[in-house]
Amino acid sequence: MKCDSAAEYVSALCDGERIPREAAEHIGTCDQCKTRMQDYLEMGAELRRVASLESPIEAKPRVWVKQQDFRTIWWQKGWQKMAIPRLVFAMLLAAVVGLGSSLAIVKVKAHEDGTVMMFKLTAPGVDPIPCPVSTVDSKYNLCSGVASINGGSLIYEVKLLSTERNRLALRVRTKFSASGPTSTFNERDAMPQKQYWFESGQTLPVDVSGLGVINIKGEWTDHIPTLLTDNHDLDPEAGEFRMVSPLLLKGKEVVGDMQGGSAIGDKPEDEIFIYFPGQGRFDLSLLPMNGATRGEAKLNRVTFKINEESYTLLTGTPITRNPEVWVRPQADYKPKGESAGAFIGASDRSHDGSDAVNSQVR
Amino acid sequence: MGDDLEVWKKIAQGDANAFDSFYRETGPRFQSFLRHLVGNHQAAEDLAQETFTQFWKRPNGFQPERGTLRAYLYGIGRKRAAAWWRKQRPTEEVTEVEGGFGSEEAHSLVNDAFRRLPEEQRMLLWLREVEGQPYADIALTLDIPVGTVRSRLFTAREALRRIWRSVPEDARGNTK
Repeated sequence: MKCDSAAEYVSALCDGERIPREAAEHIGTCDQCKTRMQDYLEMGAELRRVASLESPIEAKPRVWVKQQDFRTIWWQKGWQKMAIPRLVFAMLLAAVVGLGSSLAIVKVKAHEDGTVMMFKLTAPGVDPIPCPVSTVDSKYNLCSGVASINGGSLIYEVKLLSTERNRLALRVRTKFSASGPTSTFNERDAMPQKQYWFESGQTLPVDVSGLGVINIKGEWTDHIPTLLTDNHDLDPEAGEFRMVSPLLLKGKEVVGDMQGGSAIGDKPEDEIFIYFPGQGRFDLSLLPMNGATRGEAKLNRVTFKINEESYTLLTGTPITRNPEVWVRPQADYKPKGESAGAFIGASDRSHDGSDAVNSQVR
Repeated sequence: MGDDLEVWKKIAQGDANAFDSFYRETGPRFQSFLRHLVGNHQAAEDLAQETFTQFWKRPNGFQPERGTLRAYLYGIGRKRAAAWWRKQRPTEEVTEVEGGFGSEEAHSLVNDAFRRLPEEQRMLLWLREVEGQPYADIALTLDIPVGTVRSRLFTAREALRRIWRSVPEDARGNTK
């Protein structure tokens, strides 16, 4: 073996890799190869020495918000924009249900683990239609529904057939009825279908006879979101913290009611403060703070204890994706000015309550 | 790999504590790696945070049989760094990193030669010589076969050596 052929093995030898016997024999007897190895080792040592001089980096503290076990409430999108008499449509639905069909506006339900592809179907003139599909739970690998578009009805079904690395094999069925919902879901098996490969971030055009092209987009998410009529998403964003119409319970007794008042912090550093006459002020944060007690956040309630007394803050919408909320009570707090009513607000953590933004007084 | 599999399972199930441990353990070195890819401290920090956020939100891309979690993370970081470079305007000057490879203490002929290498060769040498990553992890990070890692590492070392060797021997002996 010559030096040129052995050179690559010198590099491998420096890395502790096994090399062919012939190469090893040559390197052991060749001055040129030994010099090369010495150079490699010296260069490596020098790179490590210089790297050691770097200023140390510390991991910046972060809050990793956990998925919530939200229950999905999903209503038909088309109801409020129905082009045909609602009674007719309601009767149609009733008939279908009576026949024992599997009519469901959307069959996807919440599940607690696994990953979800959050599809959105877009068509001209309508809001994007959300359509989440689980890649790990076969009970929820299908999303289907009816949407009112241009005075007609689009029936759609997106089913996950298989996954391959980051790609999803999908079966998409669509049917458009220009005169309204003349078709029912038990006809889905007869609807035209096509199969596609799909990757996150892709836009998949699907030609729907009588309607034109609808686009399907999708991105990974960690849970199936909570949705309401007209596809309003109730999920808090990552790092978002919301208190909407909070009600304070001490044990089982209602001791404070802030109906109609709300405060929203849009980043983890934000605090929400609430004052209930007779109960004092409560500062709430997603991050630990001095003098605060840890509360458990679940969907639309935060439970915590103060002096062995159990408290629950019950709100009108999901509060946070974070599993915990820190609560700092100030029983002796007296509001400034003459107002003795309840108030709520959100503030940046670097400020105190007096500089609060987004506050409401009742 | 067994440990990685357990950690990944917890992360995929949304275990924030498991992910935070992984973040704290891997974050500093990962950010240092990115700093040498983009040459800018702030950009490296931003890229590191974005990469961890992406991994937390979408952990499903990891395939335990292909390599370690760390290598998978570095692979995402490498792609993000490449995207960051594409967004930079050609005339935009990138601030040199402070300390370490850019500092006076770090001035050495090997270091100067290292900084003149193409990005991929710097990345390879950094992962192998400084991070001590095995070939399999480097292969996953760079998305190339293991055999290619060996040959490219040789090419990178030779390139570094050529530049270094072009300096007179008496100067080379004095690395500082």
